Amino acid sequence: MSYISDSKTPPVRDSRLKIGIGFGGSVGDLLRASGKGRLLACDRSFCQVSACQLHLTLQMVMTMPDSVTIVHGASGCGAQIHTQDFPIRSGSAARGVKRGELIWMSTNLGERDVISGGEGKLREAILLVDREYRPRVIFVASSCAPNIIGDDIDEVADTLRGEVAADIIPLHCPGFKTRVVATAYDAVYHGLARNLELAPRPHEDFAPPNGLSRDIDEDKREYARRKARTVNLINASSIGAPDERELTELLRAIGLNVRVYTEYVAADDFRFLTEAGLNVSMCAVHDDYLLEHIKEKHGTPYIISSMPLGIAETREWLLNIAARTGDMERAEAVADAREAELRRGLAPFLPQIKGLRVLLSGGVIRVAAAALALKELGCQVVAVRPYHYDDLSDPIYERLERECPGLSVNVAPNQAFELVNIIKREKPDVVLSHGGSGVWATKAGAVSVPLMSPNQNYFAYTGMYELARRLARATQNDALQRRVGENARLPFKTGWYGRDPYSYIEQDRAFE
Amino acid sequence: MKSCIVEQPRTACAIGGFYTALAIPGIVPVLHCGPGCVSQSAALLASANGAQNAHPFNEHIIPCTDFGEADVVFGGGERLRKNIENVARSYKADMILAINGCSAEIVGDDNEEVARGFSGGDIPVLAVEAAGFRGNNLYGHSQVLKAILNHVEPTGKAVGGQVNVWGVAPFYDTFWAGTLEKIGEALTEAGLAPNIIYGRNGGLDKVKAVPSAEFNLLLGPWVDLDIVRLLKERFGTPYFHYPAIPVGPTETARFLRELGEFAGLDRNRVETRAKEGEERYYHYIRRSLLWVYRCRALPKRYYINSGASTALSLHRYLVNDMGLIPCKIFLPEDVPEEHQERVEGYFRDVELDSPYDVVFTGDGGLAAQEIAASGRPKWSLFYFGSVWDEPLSNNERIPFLSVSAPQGNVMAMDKTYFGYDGALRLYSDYYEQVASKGLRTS
Ligand code: SF4
Ligand code: SF4
Repeated sequence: MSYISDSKTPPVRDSRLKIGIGFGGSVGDLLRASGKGRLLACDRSFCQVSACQLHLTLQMVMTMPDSVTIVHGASGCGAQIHTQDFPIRSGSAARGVKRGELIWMSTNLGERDVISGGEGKLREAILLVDREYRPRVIFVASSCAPNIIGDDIDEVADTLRGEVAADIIPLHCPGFKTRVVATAYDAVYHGLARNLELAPRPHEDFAPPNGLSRDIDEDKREYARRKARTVNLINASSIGAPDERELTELLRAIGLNVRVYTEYVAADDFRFLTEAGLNVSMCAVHDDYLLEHIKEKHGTPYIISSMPLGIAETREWLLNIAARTGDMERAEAVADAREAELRRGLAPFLPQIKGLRVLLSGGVIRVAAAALALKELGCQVVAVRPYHYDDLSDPIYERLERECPGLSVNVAPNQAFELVNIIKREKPDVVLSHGGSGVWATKAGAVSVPLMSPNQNYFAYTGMYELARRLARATQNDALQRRVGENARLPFKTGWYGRDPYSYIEQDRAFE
Repeated sequence: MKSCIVEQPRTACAIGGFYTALAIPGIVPVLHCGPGCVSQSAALLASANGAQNAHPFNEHIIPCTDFGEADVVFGGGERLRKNIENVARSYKADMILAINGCSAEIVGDDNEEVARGFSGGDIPVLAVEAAGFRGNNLYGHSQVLKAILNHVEPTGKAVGGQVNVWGVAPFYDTFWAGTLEKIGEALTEAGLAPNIIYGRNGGLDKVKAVPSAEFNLLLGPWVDLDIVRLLKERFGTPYFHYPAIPVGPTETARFLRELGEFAGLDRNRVETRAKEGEERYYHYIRRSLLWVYRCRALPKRYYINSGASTALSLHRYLVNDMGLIPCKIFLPEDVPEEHQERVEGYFRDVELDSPYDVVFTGDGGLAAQEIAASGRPKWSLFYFGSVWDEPLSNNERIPFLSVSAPQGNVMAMDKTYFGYDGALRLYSDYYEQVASKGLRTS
């Protein structure tokens, strides 16, 4: 069934998938527990701050040019946007997308609203935004408070549709509803797919066959041919413009037309989303919700297979697509040539990075794909720490088990106390990390390298080259880490470092 | 009053008060709120505000119940209790604050009861209510301080010369750390014994010493006025309220003299200090006059869009020492109504009689709208604000300084505009901006 067509609110991944947010053990045990659907039972009896889906939701939708976002909630939800302004501006510039200042509002719910409901304020906010800014789209992102008190944002949007010029897109993304931030992808796609046109308009976007044409059948065949040669790449805020460019070039090299959706795309360009023969996800954890819906409604097939990071994964990613479009031979030739070129480029760095002990912390697919890539570079992966786990990730973790049997995996949304403990134990040379956890690596004296960054290459061949170069550069002079490490004051009692890092995860339930 | 609908708020929500706790070494806040609430405040108050993070209890290791669906139904009190228990076991904590955010307050989780369950233990556990729908981070700041200070026991007798310093909201005031260090130095030089609970030299011992002060010093227009009143009520400590953190020779000398009078300091010592400061200040000003006069058109008028404390400090310096003229001052921090008249009076108390408005609001976007529409020649203006005001200044090439949360790509480190030396920083920041906007010929 398609949730998108059938229900106002998206489901959360906690119920839609087999997920987990707490685990510590070998990759094999992880897969077994996940297979039994027992992962979510492994909760923590102690937890630190994690993150919420509102954050990622805003990060995604605010990339749409000509949109204004209203955060429906108390004024604190949305304060993060201050750190989003710069990345979105530079992300737009890197993609040649024109975008003015980020404009957003908060309905600033107060004590009285929490008692009597905030729908009136939301109504007022939508009208105000429409009048003052005349955007093409108004996003309404609802946070915890209005969801607990039961505000109906769809209802408000519906009653205003005739009155305002903008398209209103409600987004259901309260943090308390889900344990995994990745639910945000569903929340956003739910909103986009329900409220934007996903197919071209006859007469406006194309001239429908009118019987006067010379050869209608030939026209249709030509249309089908062009459509079949067009591939949509589905992006995400964690994937930068340089990576989009690299993959686009790869696919162009095998003769395909490439377009990139859904971030940094104007509302009206969504009408051409379905004018493609194939949808390709760039990361297995992002897009199944949307791509399944498009397949069901518009018949476009899709490919979701891990992430084109590292030599083997990239080849597989490319060949998978080529197999569908009938470009196998060309794809193999492209991969051969690029691999040979890459190996020449890597040679000078390999001696320095060979044998480095590496720990990875971040997104579930990315840590696994990067771990495999690092193994290709001759590094030794000591552990991976995905933010969460779900069964969409099974294929790549199965591969991880084959390539690095017994590898330890710590499923944890941040939970820096577990990280610090593991770093103290494993003493990695390098930590590849997302977000602020690099700080803990530095304090523990390890070099940290970003696991992702929207301004740099990570994917495919250029990405692999850059990764190696970055590692070599980072380990060349570790003076800062060493000296900061020597002068660090760690916040936990020494007793904690002697204990099992997973003491607070209730794991015995994993195999019940 | 909460503004109805706000554009780009310049304050975080009440939960952001946890930064006040983190500024006092030894205190660990345990949050009972949604999983994303911390990062919301962290962006505005710390990472996008002077490149700060808390230390050693940094944002990522703050215990949080990550309030979820099940807690809405069953209540999350038990999980809060477990979290506190484990913090006591593994963190180097001397005090724990159990802080309720919106969700916990809406469903009615009783953190006071949870805290009471720990009474008599080794580490004090205190409950704080800081729901975002009740107020902004300054409300949260006050809630946190009140909880801590209500817990402090009287010490019996005053220590000669001891003065507690209030009025600076840690993190929110981007330059809090440097400012407090310098205020401490200035007070020591004046012959007093400063007691500052926040920052590098702060801590619970400083908190415990609060009742033994001879007096409390409140520097700022309204924040912490409730605190010094509370301390007067609880411990009978008098307070000296100077409404602005002094910046520049005029204000600093005035502050030193009034302080001297209040605390009965040696008058000669005060005058000597003021004279020295002034001499040094003007020495450097004179050394740069030639460069400054080559600025093709010296902007004369300014707008400020910032928190009240920062705005007032800047405003008094800009008028009294730099000879500039205010156009309009926006204070987007929801200054409570009861304080507004008083605060406005502080802004009028400068050596210039000219009409300008002081606007109390919660809406950070007002200033930019007005400046864009003002019709004044943009090169004649200077704009003080936060990172949200920067696009306008870039587009219109208005010289601009980020002075208020969130400051954006600014590294605060130990920077401060306090006193004589701080004014030199501000003066040079100001003219560097003028020059970088192309308003200077070489
Ligand atoms: S209240 Fe909910 S939506 Fe808002 S920041 Fe917190 S967890 Fe996220
Ligand atoms: S306003 Fe309430 S719900 Fe939103 S971030 Fe603040 S405490 Fe959390």
